[in-house]
Amino acid sequence: MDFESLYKMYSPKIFRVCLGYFNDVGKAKDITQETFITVFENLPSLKNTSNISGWIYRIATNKCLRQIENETRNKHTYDFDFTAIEDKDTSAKEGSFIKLWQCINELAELDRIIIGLYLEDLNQDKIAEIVGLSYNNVRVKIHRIKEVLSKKMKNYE
Amino acid sequence: MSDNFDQIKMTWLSVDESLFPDFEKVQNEIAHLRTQKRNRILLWYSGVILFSMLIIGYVIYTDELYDIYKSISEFILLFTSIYLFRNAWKSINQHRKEYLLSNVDFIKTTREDQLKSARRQILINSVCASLIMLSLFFYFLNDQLSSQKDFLILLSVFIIGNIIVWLLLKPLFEKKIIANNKQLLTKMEKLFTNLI
Repeated sequence: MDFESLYKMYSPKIFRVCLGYFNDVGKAKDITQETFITVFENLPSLKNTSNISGWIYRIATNKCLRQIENETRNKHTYDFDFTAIEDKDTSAKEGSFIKLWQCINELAELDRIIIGLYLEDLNQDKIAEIVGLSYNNVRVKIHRIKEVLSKKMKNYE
Repeated sequence: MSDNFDQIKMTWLSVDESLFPDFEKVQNEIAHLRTQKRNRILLWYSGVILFSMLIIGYVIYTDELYDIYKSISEFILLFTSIYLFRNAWKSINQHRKEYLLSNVDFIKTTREDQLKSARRQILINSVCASLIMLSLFFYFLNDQLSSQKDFLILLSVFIIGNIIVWLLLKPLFEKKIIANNKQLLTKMEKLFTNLI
């Protein structure tokens, strides 16, 4: 699969996972970009192409975690960078996903990654492989995160 | 909960597509990074060539090879410089290994690597500083051997210089790095222990 096809297929997914992790559009864009630069640099040397999606998700999530280094050195306050919407209907929809990202941002770092991958329809085996936990551990975590997230979203309504 | 979570999933997937990063921007960034790396490599090669010419010129012009101490000094300086060039080359080609590790392994190795890599760099700098002082010591040694007083002054300067580097500067820099990284290491530790 060529790089452009990979980019078109996976960049929206990677962007959403990064947005879920950071709750910051600018940062999510930067990390998505950095992820695909790493993909581009290492694609020729990749031997096993059967799990290319897992490989890309692993790069993206590790790059998200690497930002902990920068976060502890320069304390950021994250903010949404959405342009103002005047239409009522779309502003209700905007409000919904702003709430969702805020709720996800309240979770622990690895939980944000796990739920992001789950919402992108990755199966639990694959999530376990990317994160480096056992299948059972991931299954329990997903169940717990879903409960917490549903409760948080209800509280926001 | 199932209906609520389906709603959450729909919201997750409804992110405005205009926010997604543009393919052209990624291509431009790749081209820019390749140019940057090429320039760094070019600069490195130019540095190596210029340095080699300077050393060869210095050896031929000064013709100090008849003096054993000055020869030793030149060799120490030459090998220290070769090592520093090699270190600079490694830093140009360093790859961060995000693409091989799972998240848990990545957190583990980042936690270990942080301090290890900083300490290693301080050690390299301290050893190179000592080698340069040793090189200077040998360079001036022959001239100072005629007088015991001058020799003792030279030896004292050499010893004091090394004491300053190893007992003062090195621990100071290590302490600074530990303080800078303490918060990061605490956060990594917390992340790692909260995994299960």
